[in-house]
Amino acid sequence: MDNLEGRIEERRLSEVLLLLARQRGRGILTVQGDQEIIGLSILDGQLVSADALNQSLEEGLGRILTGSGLVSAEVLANLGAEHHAGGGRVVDLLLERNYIGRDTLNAALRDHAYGLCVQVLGWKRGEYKFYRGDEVAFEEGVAPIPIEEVLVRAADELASAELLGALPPSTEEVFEQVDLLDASMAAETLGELLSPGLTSTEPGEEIHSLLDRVDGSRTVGLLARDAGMSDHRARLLLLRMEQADLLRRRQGDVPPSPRRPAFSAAPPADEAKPSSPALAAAPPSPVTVPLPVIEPQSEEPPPPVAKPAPAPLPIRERQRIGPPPWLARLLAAGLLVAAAVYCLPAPWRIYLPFPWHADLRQAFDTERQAGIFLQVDRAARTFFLLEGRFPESLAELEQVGLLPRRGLFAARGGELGYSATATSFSLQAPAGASRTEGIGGNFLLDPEFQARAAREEPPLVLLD
Amino acid sequence: MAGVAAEAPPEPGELELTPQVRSELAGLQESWLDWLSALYQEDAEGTDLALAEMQSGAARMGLRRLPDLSLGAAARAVGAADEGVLEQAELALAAAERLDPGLAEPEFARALVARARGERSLAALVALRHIVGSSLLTRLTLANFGLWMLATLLVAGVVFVAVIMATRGQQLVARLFGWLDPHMPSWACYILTLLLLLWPLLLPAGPMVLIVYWAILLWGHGARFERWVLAGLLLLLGLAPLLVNEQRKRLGVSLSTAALAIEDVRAGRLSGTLFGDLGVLRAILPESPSVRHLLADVQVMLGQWPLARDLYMQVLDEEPENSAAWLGAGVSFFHLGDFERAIGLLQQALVADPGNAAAHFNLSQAYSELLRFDESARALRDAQRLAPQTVSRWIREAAESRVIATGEGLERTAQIRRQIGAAWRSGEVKPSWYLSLPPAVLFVAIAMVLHLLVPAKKSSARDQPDAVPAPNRWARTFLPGYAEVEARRPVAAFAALLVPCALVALPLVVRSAFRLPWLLVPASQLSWWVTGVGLVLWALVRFLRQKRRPVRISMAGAK
Repeated sequence: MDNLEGRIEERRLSEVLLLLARQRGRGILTVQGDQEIIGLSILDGQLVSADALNQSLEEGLGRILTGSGLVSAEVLANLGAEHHAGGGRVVDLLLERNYIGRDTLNAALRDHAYGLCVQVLGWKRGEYKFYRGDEVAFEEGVAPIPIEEVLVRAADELASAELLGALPPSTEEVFEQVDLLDASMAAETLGELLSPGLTSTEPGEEIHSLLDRVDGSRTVGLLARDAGMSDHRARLLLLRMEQADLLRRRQGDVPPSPRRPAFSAAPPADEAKPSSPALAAAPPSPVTVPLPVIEPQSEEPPPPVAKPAPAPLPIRERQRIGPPPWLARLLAAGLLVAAAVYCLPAPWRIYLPFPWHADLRQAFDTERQAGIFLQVDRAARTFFLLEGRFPESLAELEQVGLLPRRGLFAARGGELGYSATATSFSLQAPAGASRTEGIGGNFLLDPEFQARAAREEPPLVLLD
Repeated sequence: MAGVAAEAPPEPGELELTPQVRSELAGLQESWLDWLSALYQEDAEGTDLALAEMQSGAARMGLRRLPDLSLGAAARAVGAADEGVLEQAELALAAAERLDPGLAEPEFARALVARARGERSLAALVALRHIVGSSLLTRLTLANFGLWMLATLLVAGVVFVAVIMATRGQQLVARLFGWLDPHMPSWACYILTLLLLLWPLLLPAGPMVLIVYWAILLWGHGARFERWVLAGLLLLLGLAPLLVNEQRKRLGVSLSTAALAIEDVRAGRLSGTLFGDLGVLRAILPESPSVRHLLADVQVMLGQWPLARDLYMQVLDEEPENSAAWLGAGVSFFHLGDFERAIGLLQQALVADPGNAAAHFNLSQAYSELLRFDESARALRDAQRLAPQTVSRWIREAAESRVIATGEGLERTAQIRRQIGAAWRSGEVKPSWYLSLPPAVLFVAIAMVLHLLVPAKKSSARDQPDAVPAPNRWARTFLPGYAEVEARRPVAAFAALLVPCALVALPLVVRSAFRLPWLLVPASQLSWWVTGVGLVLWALVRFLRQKRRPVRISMAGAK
């Protein structure tokens, strides 16, 4: 783990995070992009805080708080000025002045860390390095964010299939089992490969408990509840099982899964519930994740609320719809079908496909036809040897087993034409080649041969 | 008469046969009829007698195998088994195997007879060994094997292009779509994209043109090794016609009447058409000393000494350094009783080749006939000095044949085959095989240019070209090459395609290959069986391997 460093182009950051989660890493993962360096503090494999070189905590936190309308920009500016003048940390001042409560601050810090993590997950280039250390600094009371939550929420918000290999399922989707080739082995393997990354001590059991509950009717949310795990965890596990072909999403009877709109990350059910309509109108920056609305603890009237920016269109709607991913596969299947249709009736087209091969095909067929004629010729002569005549048809040769069925056909298909006389037979291929054979000269078939031999025998002359 | 349809044989003057040889041949026909008659009567003694007559008759002509009669006996065995006369079938089978032990058909017949009895026999499979024993069958089998390999590579190449399209094609389609998208509505984009991708189907040989077209289009989306495979496919597609044409020419000669006759003589087979076929050979190459030499050796085998003598002398007119021809001429004069002339010719043989032990030995025999025993003994010593063991064998054989004919003319087969090929090609309509060369060069040139212009993608399993969902386990199991291409392992992908493609190509190649002229074949659908069983086994192996293999899932996403 000490040597965990490399480039994002070579290893995705999501992999690195899952690895740290699996190893329950503790330390700081620094990621240097083109214009920014971000450090992610990891405690026992979970994200606890994040810092950016070009963006102070105060700036990031301020953006979140103003974006959610909890603190006005003016107040933050004043507190910032006080901070610079040596008046203490902005977060402390916020608490001291009762602008926000401790829980709200922790939630904001949590979302700040999450936002920076999402930002860094979106980078295509950069270097990362993990500095292991026993001491990890983070604000007391901030609930660590499990890596699966970070990744699943990020995949949702970025609408990125790239991050996890596919879009994670929504809590409303329904899964069914594909096949059970060897569920136990697959689950075990999945456990080895994935679940440690999900910080489970008993991954196999967890996967089994999910697998056992998948019945084609329960939604992902229900499965998570029944299996006693968070929605994010269940969604990631189900996605991985789907990728391992243990499960598939039911199509057709399930309405398209309602994706959460971009940047409206809601915490899990066991965390504070978002409810403010202002949250949906949060600014588009990845780091401006809205906070759950928590009533200010102060009795004083809240400071002026910053006017929320207009809500951006969801990413998907901004894009033109491209060709469906199955189109290329359909084209590939079409190519195979077309090639089969082209070659099956005339298999020699495999080697001689093009129009300029026509006379070569003709010559090739002529040679093949010679082999066919030779076979029929041998069969017909053998028939003659036994019967004293040539067969009346080629079917007769097939009936006595001399010729195989395909021996009746010419090189290019089509039945061979055949006619016989008492002393000869003729073969005619549909393409035009023909051949006539007879018994003349064949000392085994020609009855005249014997007679001629007798005539040519030198006479026996008796001399007195 | 065996031969080739396209061949326009000259009027085949049958080889000259003396009345004695004709009588021997007629005796074979008579013995065959005797054998048939005895067989129908299930007279085992009679069949044995007739069989011995046939074999000794052939042996007197220097030939020991009677393939036509063996085929006839095998066919009769099958007929008898069908009629339920199994004893007759066994007699016929035994005769077939004795008449020509080198034929596969008697063993095929044995399998059919066993089947008629309700038994199973592996005789048909065992018979396949005869492919090695027959020059023609070996050539046909090798040629067909070559065609099968070619078809396998081409089919695998076609499937490889399809797999590349299935895995990487989304990028290509998306790029085309992206170009068109700003300028027209979506439905028009779809139509135009499909038209741009599929227009080659409208051409003659459309699917094959489409393969070339897609291989070029997908070039930019392939990794380095994928490109090598694609380039190999294009090259093979261009060169395949040249390879097929070469095979065709070789087999054309092998299947010709003349070449078949030569093979018969070399193998000691006396077929009913042998002398007519040798006449065809002489008519095709009337001036060839090689053919004359071969025919002279045939005449020696038949014991037609005057004919042999004349042919040897004609050979010597053309090839005065031909020691074997001098030897053959000497042997002919010896048998004609002209020992003085024989001695002169044999001495010429020694001038041409002083190390010719047979010439020394025959010289010794000729001196002996003229009672010149000192010279005879000296010549014999010379022969023994050169080849002691061989001469000892000759001495034992000399009681029967007196002098030794080496039959070197029969060894000039390769030379004669080349001459037949040359004579034949000069008369045939030349197929424009050369038209295949420019496309091959063009394909490779395109590949090279693309390779230089478009940088190859790095081969990396982590490289996710698009967000196409991964195929499920069944697809990975039964779509060979798919998972490998996705993992950027093109060589492994192509290798994975070879076995199923070879199996699929087998029945296709059998339909388009050169037919082995076998009769009485027990299983004519063997290739389909091999393909069916092979594919099932292949699928089973992949299934089991897939089952045992750990589920590999990239932490970054699906493969």
